[in-house]
Amino acid sequence: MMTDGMMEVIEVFLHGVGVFFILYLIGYSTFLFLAVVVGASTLYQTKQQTLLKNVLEKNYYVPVTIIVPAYNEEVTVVDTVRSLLALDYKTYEIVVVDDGSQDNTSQVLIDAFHLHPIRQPIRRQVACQREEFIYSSTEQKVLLTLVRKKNGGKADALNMGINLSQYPYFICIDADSVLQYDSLREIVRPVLEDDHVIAVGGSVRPCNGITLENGRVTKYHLPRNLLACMQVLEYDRSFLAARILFDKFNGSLIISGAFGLFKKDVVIACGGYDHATMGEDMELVVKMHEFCLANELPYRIRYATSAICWT
Amino acid sequence: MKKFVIVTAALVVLCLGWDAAYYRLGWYVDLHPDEEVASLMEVRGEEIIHWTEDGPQPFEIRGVNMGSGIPGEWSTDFAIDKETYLRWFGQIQAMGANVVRVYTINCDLVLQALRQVDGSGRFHHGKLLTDGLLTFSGDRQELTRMLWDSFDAVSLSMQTVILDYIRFSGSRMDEELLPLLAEEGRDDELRFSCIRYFEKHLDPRAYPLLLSFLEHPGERRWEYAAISAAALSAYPGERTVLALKWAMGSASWYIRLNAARSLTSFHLTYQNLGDVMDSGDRYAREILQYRLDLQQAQQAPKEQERQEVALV
Repeated sequence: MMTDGMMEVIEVFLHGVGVFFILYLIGYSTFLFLAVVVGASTLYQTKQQTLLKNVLEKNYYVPVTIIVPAYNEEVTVVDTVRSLLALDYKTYEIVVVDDGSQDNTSQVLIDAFHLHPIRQPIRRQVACQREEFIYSSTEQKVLLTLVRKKNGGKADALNMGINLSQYPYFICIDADSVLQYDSLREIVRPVLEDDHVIAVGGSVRPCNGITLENGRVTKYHLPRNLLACMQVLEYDRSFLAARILFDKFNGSLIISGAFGLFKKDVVIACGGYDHATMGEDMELVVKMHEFCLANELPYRIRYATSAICWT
Repeated sequence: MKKFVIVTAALVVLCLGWDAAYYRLGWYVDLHPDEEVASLMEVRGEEIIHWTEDGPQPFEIRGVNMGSGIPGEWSTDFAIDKETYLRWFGQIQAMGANVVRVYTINCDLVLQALRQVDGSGRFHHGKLLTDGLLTFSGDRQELTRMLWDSFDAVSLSMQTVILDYIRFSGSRMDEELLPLLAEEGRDDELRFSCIRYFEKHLDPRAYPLLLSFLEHPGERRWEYAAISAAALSAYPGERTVLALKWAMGSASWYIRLNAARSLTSFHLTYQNLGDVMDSGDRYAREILQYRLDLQQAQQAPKEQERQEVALV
């Protein structure tokens, strides 16, 4: 008698699990299918527009500050900055924030780009740790500033970059990623198309199997390793399908910390990056959504498929 | 599991192969462009290909060069009317030519296009419109005059575009813009554009206005003072220096920054700036010090070059 009752309970439970999984699978695969269809049709439209030259092609630009937070990056930071200096864009500046590294991150930069010390006042609009020294260079194509501050984490370093930046838009990137040569032009395009855009996310793609020269892709094949191959497919599915679908109804929640453009005044109004959380990039985007909704400001958060950052 | 991996891999390879063939080998052809574009052309090597419903056809250019003149009239009078042109087009087509060559676009057309954009109600970034206008290769003065004539008939954002174009194109419109600069209650963006105009084109009549924007902010937005502080760099003199030094004590970061920029652009000596540097105002001191350092750093490589040249 007891076992019968037990069996019944288990049966009901398993039945429940079965129904749940069927619904889950139908739901998830519908979402995936929808995302791929919308993504494919959008990309097709873009392709058509490019063919008809119906897109902005010329050097229309808005001034942008690129913030590079660096912590113990002495091996990669010089290459990163060099690739940023090679970008095909007119008005931008680069701010490297050395977040209290224990290695020679600052020194290798100072040596490589002949930076000289400068007494620069900082307009502290968002909270961050004190600076230790500031170096800058006017010899390069664009203004290159290096600031070293007490260690405070990535969010803190980005806040320092915001305080030091002089342009109305900023881009945050990781110190170990490479921007494609045209990515700045591509990522500001949504801003020129619509005044209410407060943030734009770029595509982040893993650079396995990619050969890059001066920020241009010269060779592209899928990685030989099966796992790496799956990673590439998963990144591409996420960035080429799901993000485009979310973009259609202003639902982008994540702008990857590896490559995103923000309107500075809105970010400052939201209090900048939060030191306390791990996912400071997602936290900021949610804060920006909330800020604009609460203050009834018209806003758009967009996603630029063709602005590519290799990581 | 192994079978699954093989099948998946095969599918992936198939899809990627299709993608490569579709886009890169040119199997992909768009035969349904927007209505406004009637045919699709492609350049292959030295050939021009015309895509028709029957597939690719080589396209040979047979053209007629069209000037704006007609016997008995000046070519600059544009004496040919629409009907004549339409009749000619028919004849040109009947003759077997498929292309006409024209020289410049008329100012009228530019204005017409601008008004169309203005009336469409859709957002167009001012930067795009101004930059687009700057590519106009015809008679710029004529265009400027026509734009100004229709200034009151277009929307506010388009007015800003027109003012920016006037400033960038280098045309002088002092008489027209002075009243706009002085008129309280006009749109702020328009007046900001005027302030910048008088930074580029000096006019002694604008000078007292710029000074008063900086020294007597009143109820105005802070941008008036900030932009004027930058514009005054074009009006050097003791009076300007006095006003800028006073502005160094402003509570606004941007006013201090622009005032410091303008002050350093006058190449004053350290002694001239002593009263700011010795003042108890740390904000003023630091920003001025920064601009001086920056200026020195920018000049240092040039000095070095000059010395090297002298040595040689």
